[in-house]
Amino acid sequence: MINNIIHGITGYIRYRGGAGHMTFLMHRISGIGTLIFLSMHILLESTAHYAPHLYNKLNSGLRTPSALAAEILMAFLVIFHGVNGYRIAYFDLFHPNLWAPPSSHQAVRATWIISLLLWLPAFIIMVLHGLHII
Amino acid sequence: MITAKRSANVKINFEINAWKYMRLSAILLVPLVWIHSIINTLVTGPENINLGYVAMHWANMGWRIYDILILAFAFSHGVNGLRQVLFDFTTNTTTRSILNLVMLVFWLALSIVGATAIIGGIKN
Repeated sequence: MINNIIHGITGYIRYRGGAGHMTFLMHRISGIGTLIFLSMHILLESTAHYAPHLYNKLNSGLRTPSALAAEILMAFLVIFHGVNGYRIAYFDLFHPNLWAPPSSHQAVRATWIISLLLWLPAFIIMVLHGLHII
Repeated sequence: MITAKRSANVKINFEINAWKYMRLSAILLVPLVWIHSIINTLVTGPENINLGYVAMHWANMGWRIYDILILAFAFSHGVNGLRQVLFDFTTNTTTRSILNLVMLVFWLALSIVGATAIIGGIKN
């Protein structure tokens, strides 16, 4: 049991595929991060029906700088997971031959660049909302 | 250059369907989740979201169906993804069966809580 877990973790670290490895790990990290957020989001939004008197209290309690920072990070995780997920789905379902380099390497680079470009405006708008400018 | 089509005949089982489901649901999830996030986080802004906003949002049957769709596709995609990540850490069939059961219960529990809340709406 413990050996398997250690084996899994060392496998994650030792598997060296450069940018592809980073992207593989990031897809898992962003996926788990998004699932944790989604689980809390389902429970929080459900209070609108089950405990309406709690809803506004919980919501305004989450308007803190650290919550905003977490949400801005979440935005990157969701954007990255989506862009990278589209790369994987497109390759696997429509063009499996693209998995061979150099197209696979170009696609990984494009994934990071597109994700960062999409995140930047989201980052700015979220900060402006947080500062009550918009 | 290798031009031969690499394919093999395999029996369709749950894991193959799960593999396909992750990719097919992904195609649907990007527009579903991104539009949801753009409207609520970027346009409306979290500081403007309160019980009244949710009541207004759920007064529209279209948005309720939209929310149910996100809940169904995103959460099943997420729980199956976690299941796949956890499977990297164990090859033991008994442990995997237990994990499958735990994931199923977790998925059903939160799906029921979320779906009943959306269907129930805001009580006056």
